Amino acid sequence: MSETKETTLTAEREKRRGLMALLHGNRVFRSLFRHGLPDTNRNRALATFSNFFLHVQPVKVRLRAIKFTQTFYLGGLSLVCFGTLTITGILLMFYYHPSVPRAYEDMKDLQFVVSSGTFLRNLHRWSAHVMVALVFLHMVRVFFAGAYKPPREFNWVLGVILFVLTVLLSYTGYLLPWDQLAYWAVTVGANMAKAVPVMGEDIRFLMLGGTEVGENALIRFYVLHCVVLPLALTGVIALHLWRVRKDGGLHLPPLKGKGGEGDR
Amino acid sequence: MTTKQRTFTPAESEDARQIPVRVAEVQEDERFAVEDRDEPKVMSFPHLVLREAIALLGMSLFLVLLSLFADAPLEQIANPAMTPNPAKAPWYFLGLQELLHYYPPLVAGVLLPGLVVMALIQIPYFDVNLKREALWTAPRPGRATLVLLVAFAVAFLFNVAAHNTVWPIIIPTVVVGIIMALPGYLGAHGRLLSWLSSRSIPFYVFFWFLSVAVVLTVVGTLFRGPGWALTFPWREGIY
Amino acid sequence: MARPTNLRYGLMIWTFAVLAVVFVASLAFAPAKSYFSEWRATQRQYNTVAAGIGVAPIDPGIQQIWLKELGVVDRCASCHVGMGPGDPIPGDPVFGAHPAIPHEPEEIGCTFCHGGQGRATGHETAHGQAEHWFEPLLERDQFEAGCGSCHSAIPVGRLALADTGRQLFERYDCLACHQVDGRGGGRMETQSMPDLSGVGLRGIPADWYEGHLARRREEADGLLAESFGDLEPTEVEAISEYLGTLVAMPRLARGKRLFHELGCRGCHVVNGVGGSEGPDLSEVGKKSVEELLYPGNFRAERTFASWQVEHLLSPGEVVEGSLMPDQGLTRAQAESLALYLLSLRRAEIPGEYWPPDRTRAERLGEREFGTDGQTLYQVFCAACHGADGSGRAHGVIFGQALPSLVNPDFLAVASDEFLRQVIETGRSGRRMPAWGGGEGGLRNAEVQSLIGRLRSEEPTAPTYDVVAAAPDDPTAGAALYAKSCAVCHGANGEGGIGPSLRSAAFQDLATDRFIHRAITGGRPGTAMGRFRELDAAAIRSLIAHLRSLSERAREPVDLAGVSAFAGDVERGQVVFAASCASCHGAQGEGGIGPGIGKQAFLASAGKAFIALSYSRGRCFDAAGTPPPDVERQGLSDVATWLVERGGRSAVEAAGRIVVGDPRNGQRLYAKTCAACHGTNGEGKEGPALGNPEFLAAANDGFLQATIIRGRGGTAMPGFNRDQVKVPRLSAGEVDDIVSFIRSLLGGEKEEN
Repeated sequence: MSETKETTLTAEREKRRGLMALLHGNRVFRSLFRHGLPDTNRNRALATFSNFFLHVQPVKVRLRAIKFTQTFYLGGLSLVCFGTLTITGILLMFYYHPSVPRAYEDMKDLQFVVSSGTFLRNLHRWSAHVMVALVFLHMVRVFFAGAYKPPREFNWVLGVILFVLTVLLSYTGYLLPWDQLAYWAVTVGANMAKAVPVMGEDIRFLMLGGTEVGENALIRFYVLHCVVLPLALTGVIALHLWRVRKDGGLHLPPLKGKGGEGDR
Repeated sequence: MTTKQRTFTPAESEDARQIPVRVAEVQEDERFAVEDRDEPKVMSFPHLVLREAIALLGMSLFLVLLSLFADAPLEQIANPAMTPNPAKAPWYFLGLQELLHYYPPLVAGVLLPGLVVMALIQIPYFDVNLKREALWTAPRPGRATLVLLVAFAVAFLFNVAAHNTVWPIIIPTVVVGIIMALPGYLGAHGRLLSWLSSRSIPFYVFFWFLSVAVVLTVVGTLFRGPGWALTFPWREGIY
Repeated sequence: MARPTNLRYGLMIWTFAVLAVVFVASLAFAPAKSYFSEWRATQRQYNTVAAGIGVAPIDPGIQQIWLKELGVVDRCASCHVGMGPGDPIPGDPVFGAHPAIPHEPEEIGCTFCHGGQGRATGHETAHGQAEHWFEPLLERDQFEAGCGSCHSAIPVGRLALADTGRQLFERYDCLACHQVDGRGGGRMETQSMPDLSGVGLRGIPADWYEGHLARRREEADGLLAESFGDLEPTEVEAISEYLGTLVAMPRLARGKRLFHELGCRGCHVVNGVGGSEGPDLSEVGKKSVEELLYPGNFRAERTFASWQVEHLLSPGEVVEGSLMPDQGLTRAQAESLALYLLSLRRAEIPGEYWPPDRTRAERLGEREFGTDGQTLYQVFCAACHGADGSGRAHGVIFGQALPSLVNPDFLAVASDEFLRQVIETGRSGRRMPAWGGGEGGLRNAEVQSLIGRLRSEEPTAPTYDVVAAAPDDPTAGAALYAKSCAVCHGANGEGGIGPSLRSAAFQDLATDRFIHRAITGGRPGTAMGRFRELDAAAIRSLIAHLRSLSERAREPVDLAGVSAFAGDVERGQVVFAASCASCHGAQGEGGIGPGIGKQAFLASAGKAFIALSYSRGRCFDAAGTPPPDVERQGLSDVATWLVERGGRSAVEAAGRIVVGDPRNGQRLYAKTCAACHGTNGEGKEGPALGNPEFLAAANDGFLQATIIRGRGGTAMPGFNRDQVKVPRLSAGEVDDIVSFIRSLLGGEKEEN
């Protein structure tokens, strides 16, 4: 990188500033983004760390780390699913009553009279399935990359917890449409809990709020699905991302001939 | 003013600033590695952010298109009196449900999934010594036979405890055993074999776990029909 | 630091831009899909059609009937605009008007009657052809099945009587003035007479006949005056019964009637009443097509009705191993039945919506079927025991022959208690379900009606007065005695299984009336069956012959005139318990001695007979030892207690207990009975004797009598005479066999 080349580039950019500069000079815009046009490395750095959403990332990343085949962006894509699920989930909550048989009737109303109701439910349903798959694939990818090794041991544990939480979220949501599929899938699952020695029956009772899947179970699953588990998942995701930074960023295999990280 | 002889007593109430004593301590501490690695770096903004945005859009687009053309299933209203045959759990639990076909609920529904989660959690803490140690540095047919025998023994043990023949565990176990043993017999010729020979034991253990999990889930999802009998999706469809 | 290359910044920017545009566009697809929905298209089509014929267009919007307490959300009018917001377009299948019906759609919605998915707004989804929707729209020719959602108990009435009523109704040409289900009423163009189609639900005025008569008197020259004739009271009753079955759902009523005529309830429960052999059909109409298993070679379209029709026509071909007998139905009958089955879809609705039939059945406990013996028999028994009770060859299906109920030998020896107990508790291991109490759902009085129906098959015995007036023929009497009585009472009346008839005590005490009663009514609980088939002369001759057996000249005791037998009830009970109960049972129900606490016996015997039977020496224990000494006052007390209390004892069934040698009985059983009834009474061609319900219901007398008399018309011979291959059993041998059969109750293994 040479100084002279950088200077000429800057001069070229000055010409093209025009409208963008106007935008960046705007008072409202400046109240949102405190940095100038991201055309200098300083401003680019500011764009990253002065932004709440981007500051979880370092200002500079290794070139290898942004390569698609390095990570397949599996963690990020899981996060996209989670975001989609949050948004569609909140919209669905506007139409949903966790009671029998209203829950099922609400599904029918979503299907027939709510504008884009079917689309909304589809989006939520498919995102959920895709998320479970992506989180699992993410875990597999991390294992084969050896990214669980010190100092990232605890983040791997957090990842396992996230996987369990994701599955639980999906499972609790499975009951909410209150159709045959939901009812019997949850019954099958709940019967597995019964097999726990000594307190199996009690666990099942606690889970369902009764001896069989009914309205009590629906309310429990609803609260878990809409409040408890999403909050827990959000918290653990925050911790997980923070640990990625604190454990030295993305794990990459050592470069040939340079005793890089991950060789311990 | 004379300087008094001070006695050092650890007292929390004392203001450290009034006690001009500094004690340097060398402490063994473990921190994450901060290395200034000499390799190419790029600004996160715009290069990483742009890629992330593309991933976000691509994923969203995929989900939206999926949702536009495939409708989420909705069956008839829950009816405790009418048990569908088969009653299936969500697909990610079908591996477990498939296990239920072979083992008592305590094993299939509690012990095995519990053990799997525990095993996953402990991976980074017990892995240190085995890491990056290639399984094969040279062809060793004796050891390869041992590996095969272990694979057969594992498959046998899983089968002994089951009340039906556990093909979804036996087959992947034996196949993984063969893949493991292959470089031990043939040596590291060619890219595939040399790649296989350079894998460590933990790699193969995880690979085995993964194969079993996938096979169980696929069998449970696609190949099981009424009465949990074997069906073929291309003949009877998916239940 | 080396400057990174190959970042493909431009490509990334373009990818981002293109993806953003495509993504936003794809998002717009969902609302568009929502907007171009089927119901909007249908409403636009309505407006087009309406504009063509000058009908006002409607504003687009979903139309729905929302009835919170019924749980109804029916959006059918969103497409069937003519039945909702818009004016009907005549002749249009979608936009036309709704035909006239007795209900307001605004009050009960659409789906209760029509089925289908009320919430849906598309053609296929609303008409219930969608996957996973269990309630498809009812076909045009089945829509009466929808009535069953609320009308869950339309009356069937007394089958035979209603039939007679219908014939009378037609014969007297009531249809000239009245309409029924669209027929008739032609002559009353000027005057409107009530349409009788739904009169069974509305209720028939009790005085309809008197009303007609009154109007006939009033109108000197009206139609009524010349056309309304006189009816017998029985005819009025029959017509009323028929009118009660008119519910304005003719097809459904026909199907339901057929269901009851064929005796389907014998195996299937509907609304809590019926046999337990087949599946409960109470809510079978709610079954989804997905729940039905179709055989691979199922030809017809896969609907609920088609499955039922095919299954009814040939049960075994649709359900492999089906036990349901092939009733040889015609296709029309099967379709009618399928309609009824489809109507079994009772919906939970608030009480104020209940139609009269449902209220009558479920609140007031009235039956949907008539409760006379004949109807009950047809509804519950006919499918297995045959329409006339002569048994039916269902052997192939049930693996066992079903007994004839009208067999004279059977009816002669089976007491009412036996019949009641068999009906109420059934026969475990056999196809006979329990009908009593909560199981089959038949009430006490209904079981009694059924017994009455079976008894009606017995010949009517001549009354005593007729017998007394008949001529007597000693030779015929002797022949009859030798044929029917000697086996138990001995060739010369010396006694055997039955008591001695020549003893002075019997001869003195038993009046001719008493003997007549014993012959025609039998003695329940003992081997003495009824001999109802005898005519007056035969009975008269038999009595005469009995008298001729007497040891000495008869000294009749004037029983009626003895007034000294006034006793104390309380004391009588004590004395009976101390001296008599060991043989006659604690309540006089019988034991080693005959049952003397039975209403039938007490009615013909009386206090004096009982008291004198003792003092004249008819009372001996099994070993022939004279009875304990009871003073005269004690006898009076016992007789008083028996007559006043004993007869009301609830313990009726046990009857006289036979004392025999089961070991000898087993030997005889193995030789004579085992071939048909199985070595351990498990039953082979003959019925199982080791069946607990059978042994509980059948008392020893029944067993003795059946062994002696046999069962005419079946393979069971009478063992009372020398025949080829059938040995003659002595009284003692019969007792031994009975004792052995009794021992089968404990499930004891054969002792070798």
